[in-house]
Amino acid sequence: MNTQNNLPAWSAEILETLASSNGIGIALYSIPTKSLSANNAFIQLIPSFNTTSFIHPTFKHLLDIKEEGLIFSGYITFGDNLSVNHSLACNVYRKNDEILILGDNNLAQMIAQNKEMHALNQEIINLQRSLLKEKKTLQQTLEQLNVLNNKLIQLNDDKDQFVSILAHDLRNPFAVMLGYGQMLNKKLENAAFEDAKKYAGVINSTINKTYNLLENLLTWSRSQMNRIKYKPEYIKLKEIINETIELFENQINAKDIFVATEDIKDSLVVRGDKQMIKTVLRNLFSNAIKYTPQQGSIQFSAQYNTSQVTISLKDSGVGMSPETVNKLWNLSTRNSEKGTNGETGTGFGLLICKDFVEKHGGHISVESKPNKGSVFSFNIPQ
Amino acid sequence: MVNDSIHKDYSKEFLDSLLKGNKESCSSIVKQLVEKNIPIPQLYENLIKKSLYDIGDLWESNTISVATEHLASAIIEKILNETYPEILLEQKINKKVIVSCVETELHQIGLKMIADIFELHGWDTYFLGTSTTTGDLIAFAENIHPDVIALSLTLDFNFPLLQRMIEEFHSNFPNIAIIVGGQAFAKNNALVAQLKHCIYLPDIQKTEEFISRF
Ligand code: B12
Repeated sequence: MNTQNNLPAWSAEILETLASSNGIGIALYSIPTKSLSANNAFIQLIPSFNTTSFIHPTFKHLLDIKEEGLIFSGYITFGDNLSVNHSLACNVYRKNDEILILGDNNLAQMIAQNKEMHALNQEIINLQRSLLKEKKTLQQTLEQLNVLNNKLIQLNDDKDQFVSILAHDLRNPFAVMLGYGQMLNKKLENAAFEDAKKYAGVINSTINKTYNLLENLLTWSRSQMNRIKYKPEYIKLKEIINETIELFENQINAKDIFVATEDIKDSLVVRGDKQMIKTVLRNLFSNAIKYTPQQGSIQFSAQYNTSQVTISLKDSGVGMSPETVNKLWNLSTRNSEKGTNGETGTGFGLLICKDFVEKHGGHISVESKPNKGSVFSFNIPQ
Repeated sequence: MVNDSIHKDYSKEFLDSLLKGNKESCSSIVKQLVEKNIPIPQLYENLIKKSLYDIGDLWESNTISVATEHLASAIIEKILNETYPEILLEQKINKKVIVSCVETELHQIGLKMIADIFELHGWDTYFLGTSTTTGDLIAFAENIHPDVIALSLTLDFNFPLLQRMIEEFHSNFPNIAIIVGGQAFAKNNALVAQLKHCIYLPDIQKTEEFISRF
């Protein structure tokens, strides 16, 4: 379309439109720098009409071109040196000491650049969002790690304390064995065989106890390291209780303790790991004997429903204060008081019981009062 | 620099893509160069800085608009983000630098490169960017206890602002090293001569030398 040929007839309308245009900038200056008129677009760009707003080329630069006609064609940047500016694609004409500036917004370019800027902006906003999310996840992970770390520190402290308690527990029997060993030597030198036999007996029983302690310790640590696998089967409860009682016949007779098991039906079958339950029963029963005086009693009982079985051992023993009860289940605070006949132990047994019951998904607990005896109960989900 | 020739194949295409606003093409060129193990300092000096200087020249000859310059710098900053992980890989050495422009200065790409170079050498870098007031800078330094302050100046008419900033900072922290750089000094030795209490470093290479001596 050859617009130039047809347009002169419309110049009035075109001028009217250009005067109020927001897209094409028109400004007329008289030389040197007196502004004559400017349209909307130009006034928006340079509100004060100030020629210092010509950043590049400067107004002075345009003035310095003394020719007539088209004196400049290219982008002029308007604005100020301190902020974000704007460029117009301009033709600058000079005629009769006047300068006419016609500036065009390159629409195609603006649209394309706007689109790109928009895409960049969107990309950055999306990135920001995913970074915020990652940051949050990292924060959460860090918090979890902190919690775990604190747990590990606690565990490590526990282990340290445990090692020192253990060393202490082992030192006692060794001191006994060392002392009696020396005396045994002397008695043998003097051929005092009766005394020697007595001392050998003490050494033997100390070795036995120490061996038991080590055995318990080993079981417990294997269980802690998950080396002992939980293998459930159907077990006749009464049978394993009877087996347990048989193991301790000597001690029961020595203290003349009455053991009751009538509460448990012969037919009662529970599901659990046989070796573990036997270990629990053995430990609880041996404790009950230890803390029950001459002619006391120990009673086994069981309560059964479809979801769990609860097995209890009640003794008429010395009982415990609440403080002692609180210390029972803790690795670092566990201690062992001497039995009513001076029996010793290390308190490991209960830790093993707790561990094994928990491997069944069950719970072990105790009710006790000083001089009123104790009831140890554990339940096993069925 | 050594690898100028490598960049020649790329720099024209890179500049064309920047002018067209083709960010994908720009990204992919930089990615290729990174994959070729071109060191970041060379990438910055010989490809990115060079193309921006060319863009400045095109603007100066009234061939392109500020909008084109804006779009190009937005693309460059996006690319700097994309190469940022390459920089963050290095081990930290427990030294700190605060990098900042002079107030009212909007040119931050050169400074960002300098920040990255410090980061590349294991420094903890605090990038304050543009529009930082002297008060902000001093408050920040009180918190961070930096080893070095790096200030950038592009527009020469902002020089008095920089002088005041340095003066005030120095009187608060006489023992913290101040380095300055930027285009305002590039062709203007007279400005360099007026600098006090600080070291002028013209480019990445000199900055790396400074870092290795520090
Ligand atoms: C991109 C750009 C912009 C962008 C900046 C965007 C951003 N995010 O940074 C925008 C659009 C905002 C902009 C605006 C303006 N700009 Co401008 N801009 C440029 C351009 C094209 C590139 C700048 C750049 O990033 N260069 C690349 C970097 C890597 O180089 P560098 O800064 O020199 O940095 C290197 C060294 O100097 C040194 N260094 C830098 N800082 C520091 C600090 C320290 C501590 C150290 C040790 C070293 C160091 O290390 C770097 C690596 O070698 C330049 C052209 C050019 N020649 O640079 C014009 C240019 C700088 N702008 C110019 C002008 C005039 C302006 C405006 C006044 C007008 C306008 N164009 O609208 C405004 C002013 C706004 C303001 N208040 O600051 C002129 C400055 C002329 C002068 N001597 O004063 C230039 C030179 C264009 C030209 N050829 O005329 N601009």
